Amino acid sequence: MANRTEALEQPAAAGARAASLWGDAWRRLIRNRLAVVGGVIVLGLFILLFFGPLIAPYPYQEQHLVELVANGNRPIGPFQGEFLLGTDDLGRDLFSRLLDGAQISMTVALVVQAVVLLIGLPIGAAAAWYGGRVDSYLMRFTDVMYAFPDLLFIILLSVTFRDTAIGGALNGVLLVFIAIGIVSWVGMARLVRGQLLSLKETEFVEAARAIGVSDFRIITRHLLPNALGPMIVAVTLGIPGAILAEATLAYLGIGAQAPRASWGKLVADGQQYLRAEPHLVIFPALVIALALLSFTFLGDGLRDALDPKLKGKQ
Amino acid sequence: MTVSDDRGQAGSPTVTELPNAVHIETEEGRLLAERLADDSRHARRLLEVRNLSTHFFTRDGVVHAVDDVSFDLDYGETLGLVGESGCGKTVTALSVTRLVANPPGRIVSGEIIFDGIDILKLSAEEMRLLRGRKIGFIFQDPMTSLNPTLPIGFQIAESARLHLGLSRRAADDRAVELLSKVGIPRSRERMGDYPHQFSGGMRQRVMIAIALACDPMLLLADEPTTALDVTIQAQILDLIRSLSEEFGTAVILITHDLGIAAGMCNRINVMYAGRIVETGKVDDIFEQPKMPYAWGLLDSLPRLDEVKGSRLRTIEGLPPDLINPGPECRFSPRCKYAHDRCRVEEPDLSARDGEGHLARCFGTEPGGWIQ
Amino acid sequence: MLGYIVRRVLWIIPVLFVVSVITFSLMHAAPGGPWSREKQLPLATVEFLKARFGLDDPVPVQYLKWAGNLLVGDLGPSYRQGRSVNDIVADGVGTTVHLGVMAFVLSVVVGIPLGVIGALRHNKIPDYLATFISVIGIATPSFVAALLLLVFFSVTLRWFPTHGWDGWADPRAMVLPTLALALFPIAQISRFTRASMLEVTRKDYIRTAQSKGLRERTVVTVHMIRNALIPVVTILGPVLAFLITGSFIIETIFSVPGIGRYYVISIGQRDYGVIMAMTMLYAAVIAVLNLVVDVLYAYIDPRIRYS
Repeated sequence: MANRTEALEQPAAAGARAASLWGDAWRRLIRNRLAVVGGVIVLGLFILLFFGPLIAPYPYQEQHLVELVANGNRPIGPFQGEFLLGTDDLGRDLFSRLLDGAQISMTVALVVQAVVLLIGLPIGAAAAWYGGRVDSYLMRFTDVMYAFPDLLFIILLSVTFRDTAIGGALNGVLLVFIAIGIVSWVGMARLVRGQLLSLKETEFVEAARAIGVSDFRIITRHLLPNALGPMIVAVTLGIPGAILAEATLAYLGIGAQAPRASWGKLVADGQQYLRAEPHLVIFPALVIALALLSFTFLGDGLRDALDPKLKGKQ
Repeated sequence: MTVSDDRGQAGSPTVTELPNAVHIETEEGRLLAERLADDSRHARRLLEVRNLSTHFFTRDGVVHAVDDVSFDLDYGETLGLVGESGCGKTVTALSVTRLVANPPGRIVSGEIIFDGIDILKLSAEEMRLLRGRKIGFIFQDPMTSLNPTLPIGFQIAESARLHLGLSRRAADDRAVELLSKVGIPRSRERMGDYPHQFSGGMRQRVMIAIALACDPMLLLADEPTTALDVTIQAQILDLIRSLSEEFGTAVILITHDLGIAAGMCNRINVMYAGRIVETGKVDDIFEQPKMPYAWGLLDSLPRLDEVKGSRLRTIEGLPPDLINPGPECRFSPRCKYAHDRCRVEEPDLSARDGEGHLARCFGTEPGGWIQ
Repeated sequence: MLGYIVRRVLWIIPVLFVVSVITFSLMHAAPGGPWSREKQLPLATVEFLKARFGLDDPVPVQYLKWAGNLLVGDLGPSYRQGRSVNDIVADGVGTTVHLGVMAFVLSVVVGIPLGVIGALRHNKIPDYLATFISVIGIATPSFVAALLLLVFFSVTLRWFPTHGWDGWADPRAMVLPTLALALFPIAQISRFTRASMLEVTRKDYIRTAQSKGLRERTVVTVHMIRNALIPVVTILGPVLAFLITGSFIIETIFSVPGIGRYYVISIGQRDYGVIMAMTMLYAAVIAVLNLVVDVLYAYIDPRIRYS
């Protein structure tokens, strides 16, 4: 009679591969070409966030009046000479301004999501963990927030505080971050709450409590890591919304003020020249599209890669 | 259902269309048209499966889920397909009704002769006419196998309307009848109810009603009770047995539970790693199994008369990888009785004592080393 | 089900109350008043204007008066335009609603079939086409779309007028604004529908339907679409909210005389009366629309309707 232990130590058949959670997801992500392209561009955008001003050939607010006048006081077109993408009607280099806009958009993306996590995560976790009245109140509060259409509230907040100190900070950009963040945390809170609720009733949590692990530790060590996947996806997919909101606000004249070059503002400034010098609108529109799409594809790819239903399958 | 008559010809009618406006595209389809006209038996056996191979073409390789499987089924007979998860029993059943997901699966070779027609030669549209009408399928999980947004009465009447050409009222009446037959009380009132308003056992009864709606010749039941409470299991199995007896329906019952197989089937096919490794009448398999895997299965059943505290017996090891299986006996790595020959050559199914009793094992062949 | 509806309706009241408090507080927290940005008006004039509009009452009193008026449908005065907000709204609301409805219908009529076809012809040419369209939709902010459409079709090709709106009296003027507004919703709806359909395709009950020998067409229309569209109803709420807020921009760019345009103007003029009143109006409308969508969802999903 063969030794039972030896038999069980037989190597598993080649078909059953040992796979870690994240390794699995990573492999699936890499295979998704759109997501990879998106990810590369996102990486590029982050590099621009930090090194944009270094790459820019000119300071974004510098007006090159000599060249402008030489061009008949009209914005200079792209690919013609020293200005890679041309200039605007004040002689400012469009390429450098786009880089400034990239810095603004990426900062918005990061700061907003940071705010969203800082507020939404604890609130959602608290609601799920303590349940009962705490949960009730928090959920009612989020219901009220939901009743306000996002853009409306952001506009309201921005308009209200634009003449204050915060409103003036960083040329109005700080106010935009805060406004968008205040509106956006609700979704994250609900997500975290949902995830934790479903995990709360599992047996390993019961066991941890029985041993006497503190609430805080249970939440941070056991529950949150499991909710990490959907949270990462939500953060990534929330960024296009933030960038879009910032661009729309800038277009409406709220938010980033002159001379800063938010992409939305560039479109607003350029629209009157749309027929004669379309490059003033086309290039900002293209970079907006690029940013929106790359985060969206990356987010979609992450969502598919981390989908729990596909775990273990190839 | 229309069978247009070519007036002026005596003998078999010439048809250009099958029911439900399906055009005849193949020779087999022509045969099918004649068969569908009545419910009598047209061949010696209901089902003859010859050398069926169904493979799945995946990124990691070709999975030989079903490899060269052959078996017969008589009209009205109940056959068990028994084996552990992954042995190919479900894929075999899906192949018989040509519902294998394609991609990535495909029936790569073999013949499946149903009531005298080689259904692998039918076009997809022609095959559709058989499904539901002559072949019914009961799926494993009643919680997910019913459409949650349609009333159950509709789901039962659907195939009757399509295949039997019944009017809406007639089909509904038939559905009510079927609901009663499967043991759902107040059937007419419950016609408009939705699946979520029924318990698991009741939903499986609804599934049975759906499968039997057009009085099929063959019922494929894939682990019909695995997802149900033990107490309900017996009821559902009794129902299947009594209905199949009443209507003369042949049943292929797929299960990993030997107890169920023993109670329901006339004959049993034991499957392992995509092959049939033993086949025979119920009594022969249970009293005189001739294949070490079958022994292992029977041996692993816990018994009431065992010494308390003793360990359960298992078959050690794991089933083999079905991608590029080798030429050896697929059970040999786990077999206590394996000899060198087993590790290089695979045995064929050969005869043992008992009518139709075959086993795939060198050791139990007459003159072999296992007695 | 009835209990659910009643509860949801009653819930709107506290929600709108809180919204009104927040809106009111924000407006009064803003530094400066409605007239502080303009060339310095003499103090006496400002005091006079304040008294006339009741802005010298204590804040809680102002709130009560304002909220009270709202409840009877009086939206209050515009501080800058010399008319009541009710008049402003009456002027433009028909236009805005017309634009919104047309954009909504367009986005559903185009978005859903696009998503269905994309899912059914998964990874084949129709899918790529549908995906391409929805990609354009999500990559293009509505103001960019509006500008590009304007320049290309209106200014260059002269197919459509550059501004104005006259309802059905001038169908050509309706085309570009509707299209620009509907672009993003089309993309969202089609993406969501496609994802929903793909999920349904993998469900067990579809296999059951196939095992009955049903025609593919029947399986798709009777079994798949019905189940796939139910989740799609859940995004109609956000779509409607988008149409409302998106109308600001579209109306501004195309000079459509609706209330959205007035809202934008009021923001620039710091006309707090209009801003507050219209914010409440929008919030109320969206709350009701969300309610309708939720009830609709509960109605069409039998699992909720009969439980």
